[in-house]
Amino acid sequence: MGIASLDVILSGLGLLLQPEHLMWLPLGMLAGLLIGAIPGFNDTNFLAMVLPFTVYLGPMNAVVFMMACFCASQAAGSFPAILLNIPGTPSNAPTCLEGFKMTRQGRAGYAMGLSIGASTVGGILSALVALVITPVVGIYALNFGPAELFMMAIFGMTAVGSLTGKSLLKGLFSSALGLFVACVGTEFQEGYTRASFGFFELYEGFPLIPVLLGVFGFSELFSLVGEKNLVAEGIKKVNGFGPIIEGLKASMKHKINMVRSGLIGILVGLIPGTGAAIATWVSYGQAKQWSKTPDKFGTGHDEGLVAADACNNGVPGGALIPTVTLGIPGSGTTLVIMAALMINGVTPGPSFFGEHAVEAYAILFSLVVANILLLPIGLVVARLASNVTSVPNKYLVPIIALFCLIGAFASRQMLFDMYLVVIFGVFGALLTRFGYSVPAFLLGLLLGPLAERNFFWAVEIGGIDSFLRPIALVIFIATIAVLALPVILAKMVRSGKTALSGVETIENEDENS
Amino acid sequence: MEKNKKRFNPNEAIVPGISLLFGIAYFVQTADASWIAIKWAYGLGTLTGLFLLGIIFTYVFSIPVKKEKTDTPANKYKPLIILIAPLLYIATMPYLGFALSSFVFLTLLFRWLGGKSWSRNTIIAFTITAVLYVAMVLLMQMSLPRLEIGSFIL
Repeated sequence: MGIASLDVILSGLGLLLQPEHLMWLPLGMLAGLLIGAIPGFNDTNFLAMVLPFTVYLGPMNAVVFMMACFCASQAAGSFPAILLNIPGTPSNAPTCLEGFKMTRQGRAGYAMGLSIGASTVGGILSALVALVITPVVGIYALNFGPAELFMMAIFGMTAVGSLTGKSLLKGLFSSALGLFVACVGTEFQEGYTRASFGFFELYEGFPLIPVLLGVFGFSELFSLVGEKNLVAEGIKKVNGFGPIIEGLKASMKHKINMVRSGLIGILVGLIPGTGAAIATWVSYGQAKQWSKTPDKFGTGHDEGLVAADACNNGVPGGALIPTVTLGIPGSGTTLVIMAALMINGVTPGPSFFGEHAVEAYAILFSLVVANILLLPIGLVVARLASNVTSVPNKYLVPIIALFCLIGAFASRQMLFDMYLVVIFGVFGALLTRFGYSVPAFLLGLLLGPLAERNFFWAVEIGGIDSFLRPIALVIFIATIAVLALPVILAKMVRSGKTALSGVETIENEDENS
Repeated sequence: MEKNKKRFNPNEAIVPGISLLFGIAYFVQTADASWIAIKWAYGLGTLTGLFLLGIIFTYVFSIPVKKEKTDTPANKYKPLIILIAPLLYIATMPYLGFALSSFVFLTLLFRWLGGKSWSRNTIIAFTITAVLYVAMVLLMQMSLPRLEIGSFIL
């Protein structure tokens, strides 16, 4: 598996730019943006639904269409997260924390602009990295064994430390509770069903989408119901393209944040079995730790939204690398894309770049072009979607409730999941009211099975020594650094304030004398 | 000095209480599990329990803080509606079908939350239900519960 010549790379671009292939990109973008914005429809569900129809398109058109759908649905998941506090996909949960606060402050259009700007930059960066390094780097992903994946999960959990904000104890309790709740369902070692409470629907544990819709979307209704409008009273609503363009421009002020978040997305996406949901939390936590204003996170802060969305769209490029080069899908979504290739007679794997180099580069270029198209098409869809803030709460609250319930049903087609939305909605409202960390709880729930499985595999394969392998050790050191950084930063801020107050005292004494 | 004495704070006990009940139910349910199957859960249960103790000593028994503003009487019942209405909606869906139950759910909830115009409530509820029906049932072929009235399937 070597690096192709420039001729082959350009032939790949040429193949994509042929009208019969290129026309499927905007169509896929539009479909992805519209359907991806429906809460509960994650990108995997959506692509799985599209898959049977792509058989009629031919291999190249099918993959181009699906790549466009993939990018667009990743970005579109942010729209309901910003406007309604309903994460379109699990990876959009951090977007809710900042985006919905902005909507409440009358800055929905601005938040949408920020989101599209960050998504576009993160996506283009990811696509370019994938284009350049896919043939070379994919092979290194094989070095990630169970110990490294376990450490990665622990790293994700420690990133929560920076999300917990007011009370570290309640934050840690929330994440531990999330991990514990994740212990419901069939365990992998003996196949024993742990505490399904008599419900066959819980044999695989608590399903993520209904829990997510409950603790984020439904729980918010309890506070919204007491207010007249989504936007707080007294705040002037600004419609039109103006705020969206303003948000778009503002996103460009966060270049380092976007590049760092995009790279986190690529790196996490590269590791098979992780996915965007973990990446966005890690990125959000990192943005908070590097921020000069970490206390503003969770209040509608640009940096948090930019970090989450740049990372979210950075994942597809990373996830595509092991899929195309090794035949190991990095996520459920890339699994569906791989299935699309295989249905059409193309098998991804180490020989893919040797046997189908032109087609492989055309696929990678489709990711670049799709992300460029995201900007104009996304702006128009965002403009239309931001009108939702003018709807009074007496109409909006029942509609959100219905969308949460139907969204939960859509994921597994079980009425039981609708009850889960209500139960976790109440629990989420209680967690929020008493200062617990909802994101920490969710992250624990998300990472629980991954951490458990990989911990025992690592111990079985190589004993405790597996955790001392170089990559695992590096992640462990990074975890310690992530834990220590907030403490060090807090000390620096305190010492800075002391120094500042000292200077002010001296200045005042001088003025008085 | 009496004011600064630690007291039992019932509100702060709600989340730890729910978590504790969940933990007890969990370990009662898994009483027959082998050590291999349950050791990870025991580890996490212990960890969660330690944090829970910390919360009990720090927040549940704490120095009382000033009371927050309470909701106005008009708003007090609304969260209850948001809790009960969806439960009724889910319970009636298998009998009324997705379309009819969604329409009734929206129309009534609009009204209970302050939408005074029945005609407007009905039109909005009908439009949203119709859009969802077309998207979910006709386009995506989702197997939502349906009501059969003669040859007409709703």
